[in-house]
Amino acid sequence: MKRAGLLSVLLCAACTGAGIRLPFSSLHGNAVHRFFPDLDRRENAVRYGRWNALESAWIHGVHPESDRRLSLDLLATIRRLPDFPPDPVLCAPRLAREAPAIFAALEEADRFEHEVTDALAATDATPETTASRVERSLVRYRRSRYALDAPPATAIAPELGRFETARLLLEGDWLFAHAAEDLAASSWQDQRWKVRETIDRYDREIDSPPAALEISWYRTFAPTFTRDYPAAAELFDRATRYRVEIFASLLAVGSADRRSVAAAIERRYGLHE
Amino acid sequence: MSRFSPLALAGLLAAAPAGAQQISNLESGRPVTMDDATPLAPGSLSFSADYAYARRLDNVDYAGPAFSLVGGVVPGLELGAETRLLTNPRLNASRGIGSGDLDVHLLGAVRKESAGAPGLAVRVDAFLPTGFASHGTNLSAEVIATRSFDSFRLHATLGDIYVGSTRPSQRRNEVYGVLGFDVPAFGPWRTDTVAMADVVVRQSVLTGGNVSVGVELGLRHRIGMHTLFYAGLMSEVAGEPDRVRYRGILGLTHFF
Repeated sequence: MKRAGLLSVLLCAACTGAGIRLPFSSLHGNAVHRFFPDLDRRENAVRYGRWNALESAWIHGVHPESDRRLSLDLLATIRRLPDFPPDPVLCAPRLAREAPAIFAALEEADRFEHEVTDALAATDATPETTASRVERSLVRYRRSRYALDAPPATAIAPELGRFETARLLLEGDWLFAHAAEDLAASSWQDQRWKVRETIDRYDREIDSPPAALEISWYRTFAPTFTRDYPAAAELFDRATRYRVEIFASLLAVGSADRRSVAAAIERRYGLHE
Repeated sequence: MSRFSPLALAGLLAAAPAGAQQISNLESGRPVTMDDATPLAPGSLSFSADYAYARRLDNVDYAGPAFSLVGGVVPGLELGAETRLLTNPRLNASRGIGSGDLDVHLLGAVRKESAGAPGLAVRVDAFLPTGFASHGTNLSAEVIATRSFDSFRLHATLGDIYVGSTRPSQRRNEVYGVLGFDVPAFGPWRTDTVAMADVVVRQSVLTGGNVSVGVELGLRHRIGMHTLFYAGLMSEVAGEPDRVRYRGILGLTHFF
């Protein structure tokens, strides 16, 4: 039995080293969850916020009353620190059935972000292994029919800054970008305290998130990550813009005209069901 | 078992790749009969192990473990196999409850849910007589529909079991239906626990027998990034005199 156990571990390790993927041979899967649980829980709270805010905006539109309720729920979730990421199907059922392409694109972007941050946080990360893992995730993401195309440049509605939920979520995007920079720019030993500093700052700032809307977090706050993985950084910022644009569109026209909002967003990002 | 093997196994399980299945993707029989119209994503694999205990009105109780392996083959198609071992196998076999039979199934998505129509899937099972006192191959076909609402989901199944080798007075075709719902137990801001309930209506295995009606309650709770705990309780409130008074099930599912 001991030999069988040892053999299976060696086999998995050899396959991982050789780039052969067995279903359970990965040494970097869920690395953020396993090695940076404090960061993972905060990121999970942000993920809950993203899905629930989008679902609420989709159903009720964006207005001060729903914003107040959402921001309270989001702050409560940030303080609860959920151990696991949300299930999008249960958080945003109406978005899933009424705008399946938009929903699937959000899921794909989430999954891509998970994979890349896990690659950065892996215990066996080296510049070569991380680059190859990020590249593999990029290839998988781009192959998906729900990958986001680059949209034509437009300004983001500044009035979104009036909404507490939008500011909290963008602060969450800042956390993702800063954590990616900490993980990309540091050795395994230094990652720990750098991520700790970022978390402490996030915890201090979450009660009064900045009013300015920033949607290029990676380009602005993750220079090393952007230098090493420019395509991934660009896609992350694109996903942030995508989420913000959905909010902004619903702010402009309200939830009554959801179908036209969905069609316009899908056209801009090259999505089709 | 040496100390090394469980540790190695735990390490490998914890290192499962991201992007695997979510808690909302139900599996029939784990913990309740109801299923949803969503096959596993391609490349995902789930392994389940559970233990069920049933008390019957005629006091011929049965209990035993079950194991299942389900995988997404291509987009919209899953393939799975499961087996359950039971006490009193010979007696239960005469009632059409196999012990050790292998159930191989295919679940194919017909259409995804949209704003105007529910998600639909078709499931086909072959019950192979690999167990104790087995009596021929049975086949079943069912249509599954899932409709989500803002705070819960409704699932319905309509199916038919074709009994390949009938015993005297046994029915050749048994029609059954399931209607149930599931709901995130603590709302959309905490989706680690899903509660569910369903009603199962099934023709008797005997020609001219009473239709049985079972009520099931279940819970799926996430205990790891890719691991779920599930528990269920079922009671047949109408049917044959030897029907199940109650049945409990406890198990774990791990997604690779």
